[in-house]
Amino acid sequence: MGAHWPLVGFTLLVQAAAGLLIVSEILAVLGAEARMRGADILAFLFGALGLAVSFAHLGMPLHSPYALFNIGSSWLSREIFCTSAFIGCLFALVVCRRVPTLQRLAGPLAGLAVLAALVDLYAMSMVYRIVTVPAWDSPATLLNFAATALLLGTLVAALFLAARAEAQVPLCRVGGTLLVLLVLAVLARAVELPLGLFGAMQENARGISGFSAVMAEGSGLYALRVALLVLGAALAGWCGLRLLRGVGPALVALGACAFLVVLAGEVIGRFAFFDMYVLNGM
Amino acid sequence: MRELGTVESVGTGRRDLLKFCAALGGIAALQTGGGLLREASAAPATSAAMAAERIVTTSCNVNCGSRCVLHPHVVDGVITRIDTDSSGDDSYGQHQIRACLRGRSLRKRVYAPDRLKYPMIRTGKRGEGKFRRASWDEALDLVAARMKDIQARYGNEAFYLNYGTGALGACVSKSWPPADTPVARLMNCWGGYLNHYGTYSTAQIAFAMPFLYGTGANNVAADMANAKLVVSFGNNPAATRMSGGGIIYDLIHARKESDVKLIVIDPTFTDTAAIADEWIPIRPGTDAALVAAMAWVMIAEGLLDQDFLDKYCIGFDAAHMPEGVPATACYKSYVLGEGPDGVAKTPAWAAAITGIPPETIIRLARQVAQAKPCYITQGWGPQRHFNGEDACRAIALLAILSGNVGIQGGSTGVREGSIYPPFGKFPTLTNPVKDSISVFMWTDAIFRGTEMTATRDGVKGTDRLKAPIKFIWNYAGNALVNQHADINRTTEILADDTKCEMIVVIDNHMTSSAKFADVLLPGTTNLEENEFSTSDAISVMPYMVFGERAVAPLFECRDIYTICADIAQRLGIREKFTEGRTREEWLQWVLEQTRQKFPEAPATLADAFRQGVMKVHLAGKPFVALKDFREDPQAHPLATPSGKIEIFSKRLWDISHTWELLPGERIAALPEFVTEPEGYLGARRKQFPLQLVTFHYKQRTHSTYGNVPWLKEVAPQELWINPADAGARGIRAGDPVRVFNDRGASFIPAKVTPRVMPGVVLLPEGAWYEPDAQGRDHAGCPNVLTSLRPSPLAKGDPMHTSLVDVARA
Amino acid sequence: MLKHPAFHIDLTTCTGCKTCMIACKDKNDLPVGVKWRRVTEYTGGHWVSRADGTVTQDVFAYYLSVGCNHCEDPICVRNCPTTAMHKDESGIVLVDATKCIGCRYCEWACPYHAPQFDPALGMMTKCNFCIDYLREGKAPACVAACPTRSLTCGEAEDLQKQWGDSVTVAPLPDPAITRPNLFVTPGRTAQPAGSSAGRVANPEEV
Repeated sequence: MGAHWPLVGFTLLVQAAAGLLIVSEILAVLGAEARMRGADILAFLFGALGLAVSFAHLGMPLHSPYALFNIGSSWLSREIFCTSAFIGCLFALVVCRRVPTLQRLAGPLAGLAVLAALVDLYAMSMVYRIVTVPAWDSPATLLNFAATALLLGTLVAALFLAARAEAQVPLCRVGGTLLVLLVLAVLARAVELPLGLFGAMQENARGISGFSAVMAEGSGLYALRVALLVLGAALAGWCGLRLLRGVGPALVALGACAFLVVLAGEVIGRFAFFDMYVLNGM
Repeated sequence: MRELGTVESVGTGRRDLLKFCAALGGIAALQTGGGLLREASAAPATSAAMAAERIVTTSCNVNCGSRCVLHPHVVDGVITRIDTDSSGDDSYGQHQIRACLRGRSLRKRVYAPDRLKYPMIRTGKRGEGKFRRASWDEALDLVAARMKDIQARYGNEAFYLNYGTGALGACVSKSWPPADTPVARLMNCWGGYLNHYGTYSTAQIAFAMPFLYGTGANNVAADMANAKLVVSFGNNPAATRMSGGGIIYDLIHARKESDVKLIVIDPTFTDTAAIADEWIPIRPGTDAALVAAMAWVMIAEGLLDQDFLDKYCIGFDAAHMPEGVPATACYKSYVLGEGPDGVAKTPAWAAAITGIPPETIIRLARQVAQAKPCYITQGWGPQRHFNGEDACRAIALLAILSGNVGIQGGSTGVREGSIYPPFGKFPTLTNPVKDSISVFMWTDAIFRGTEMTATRDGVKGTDRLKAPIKFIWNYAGNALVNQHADINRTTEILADDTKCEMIVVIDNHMTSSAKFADVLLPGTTNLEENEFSTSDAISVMPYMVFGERAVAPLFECRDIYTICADIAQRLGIREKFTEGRTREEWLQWVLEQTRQKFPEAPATLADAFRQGVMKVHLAGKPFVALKDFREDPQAHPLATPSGKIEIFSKRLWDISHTWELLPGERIAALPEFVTEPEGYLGARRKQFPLQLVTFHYKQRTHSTYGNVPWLKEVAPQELWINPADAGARGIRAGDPVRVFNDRGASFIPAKVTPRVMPGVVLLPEGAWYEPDAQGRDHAGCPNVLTSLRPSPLAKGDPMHTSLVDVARA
Repeated sequence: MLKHPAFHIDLTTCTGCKTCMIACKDKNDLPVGVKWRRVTEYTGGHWVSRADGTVTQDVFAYYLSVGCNHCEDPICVRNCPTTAMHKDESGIVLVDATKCIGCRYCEWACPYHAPQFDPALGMMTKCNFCIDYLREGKAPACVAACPTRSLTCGEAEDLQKQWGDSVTVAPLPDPAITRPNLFVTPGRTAQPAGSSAGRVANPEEV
């Protein structure tokens, strides 16, 4: 544990960016456009920071432009391309929304950015679909990344919403949607966690499995990760219900707590994901 | 071009850096060792122009039992790579002498950060490892002065050349045999020194075999191809004879030729067992019990070669016993329970001792008796025991009972034989002192020298030692501490500088022995010398290597001949020592001696270096030991009193009735099973339940190469323990454990493996002792656990007879 | 030079001496931690203690020396984002040091542990079949070093004719993953690929 921090940071930040963009654009469509103002900037900052952090993983960052050379066969190359495209779209969206002459492009760009985010989530998951790494080579990986995006995106979007309770929006529809998204995210996680562990059961020739590797790092840590998820989601759900009843700004602090609790769970969970790397080889 | 970008160019870049550093001012710039290195840069100024790569021929001169050809690549005075023999088409008989992993790593030993760089004189307490730098003149003046002082007070018998095999197989710069070293020549010019007999490797077998055969010869390993079965006791050439020109390749080639079945009997599933047909695990120290039960089966089933026993042997049955001993003292009586102990040596009896099921013993006895010829071989593991003199004779007895001695494809049951090339010898003159001790008894000779007698301590050449050891020469050896037994007791004896008053160590690295020096002199490695060497254990292709100096001596290092000559000067005997010859002139002299025996040898040093390696082709069938004796025992009697194979040795019978023995010690006239106080049947096993066996490990040749990180990486030091013993102690693979007994403790990670039998743990010998403040070792050096109590007859080291326990650390 | 080089390892004679590893390290001047060739010890079997004080067992152990198998369908090349990892015209898998970003993705995927990260270079390194030696008509350092003559190399087609299709023994992975240019002659105790009879017994050494 620890050696993979650049990848933990990169995947969490980019997935948070994708989730935030997607959720905020859904909410905008539902009429909360004003309350979501600035979410695109935050999503861009998340994405840009994520990309920056990923350089710490490289032994030779100066050669990084070459990483786009093998899009034809390498999912890593595709991931880097998709992530760059997604963040590029985000940047363009941020600019277009704020330059009056370009504002007519904002709508199509938002759609493009959401599409890029979805494709990037898929590409990121495919990077880990390595046939020789059974713990990763499972649909659970896509579910894992999607759950992260949805969880973090929903919670950050909810904070935007809560922080701007004075703005007139159809709270019921927006808040309800957020709650549904939160429930979806938790459900995805609830499916992904056992599915991921199950896929990590296969022992390699050294007698270790992804499961045994992650438990060697501490089964208590893994339990904590689950507990944080449950606690954070429950807290967030309670906040959401209160929000629906019109109690807005007072919940920002509590909502922020829920976000931090969920984030802590996601960080531990992502480290656990990388700890589950066990090569099915010699 | 992509090629420019491949990692090849990265590698070349490293070498460019190497050249650059060399050009900057010698090897010091290459090292990470710190201050001393930078302080003492010794490489000569290199020419401004980058010289082309030079490839020289030399050899790996260590005590592994092989002698491999090395080809160092030298760029600007720096060794950048070490290749091995790739000459010819590699056809067997002129095959390539391919070095093992250690030889290939030699440049890391030459350039090790802990190389000794200049003479040093002890400043702290002895053994503390505190020294000050001295000039050669000061250091050698001090050595000479102390020599004169100790000679005046105690005589030459107080000088001892400690066993050292770090420079072995060479011509002038050789540390073994002790009598053939330049140090011996120096001492012989000056009144002599206390001799020793035997080796740490072979003390018991070398002492015992003459009682049985009058010799220790055997058929060469290549003769396995002519056998129907090979049975190997405690013999692991895959680790102890690793050279691609040596015994392991002879064995593999023989099996490729004939597909002969190989059975390995060993407490460990060795690397040789990995390519064998069957492994029979046996408890350490119980080989003689297995042999006795096999003999019982052969007697019961009429499988003996009775004609051979009747014609060539004495002592098997009552009808062939020497005068003056009871007829029931014969081996047959012993086996059938008609001897003094009254116990029949049935398979069931042996099974409980050896751990081998009775049905396996019966099958093995039939296989050995019926597969004629059968090649029986033993390594030196079975004999390196407290009862080793009996175990090694018992194993050989199998070859006798089955009548395999002296025939093609058969064997004497000793270790596989070897052929040596005709080669001249650097003359070391004769030692005027005849007194000799066992190689293992020098620590006793330090603190109770004058109490040591012939019949109690195996002293030879005199009834009682005339002086304790007061001066130790320790050249290219690590048996002063690391490779001697019971390190905690040994260092206690050494630390008292009123007992042994002077220790001079000449070596390449700061070994644990070097830390006990009073004067520490930096020697050259053979890559810094012109030096000849000859093949060691080999079946059909003896050879000579005319090694050329690869690089100039590093730092202030000097070769042993020069060191001894300079001391001789201070003793006023330089002329006597050198006979007016330089080291190179002695090499030329050796060449001339060689040409008298072998006219094809090169005439001049230049010719020799150009030739590099000279392989002697032996035509015909592989060598058979005792062939003459087998063909005509009257015309070619053995060097035993009877001229026959002495299964019962009257000489041993007499020794057993005259020598003073301690409780638990026995000298047996027969090759019978004798229990060991610290063996499987010893009472001590209640306290320390595991038998510790040390073994030769690919990482090192004894302790040589023990400081090479590459080798430590690919073959780390670990304690081998069976899953059952590990499980009972809560030990999992890789856990740090403490292996201990009442003599000491060592901390080391565990290798939990079914390759070692339950009740036995293994620790590879030779790891460099790393004591903490409490004297507990942290390197896995087994000699903190071994015993100083010598075997009863040979007074040899019983390194494989130690009881220990293991706990999680 | 070989047109389509491949390795062959004879497990009936390999004693696991690791000379191939050190010859490789010496030739390529590799630091500790970077092993272009690795010798895996595969060990298994059980012990039974009997009432008569004896033991029975079915213990086995064998060694498997593997560098890079310069696979027909190398997963490292497939996965490399930069194309630094590439096959040359004779099929040798090489790292282009002008392109490698040191992401270690090839290392994650290769079931043979062939790509080795060199922290000092910040890049991947690996067995290059001693391509410089091959060009000179010489054998690779590991092959020329082998004291027991167990490790050899040759044209893949010739080796296939001589030894048959690559037999896979544990702990080698399913050859379908990468189609390695490695031919193995199994020893007496060789276990089939995918077997769980034994374990890699020296993970710290490979």
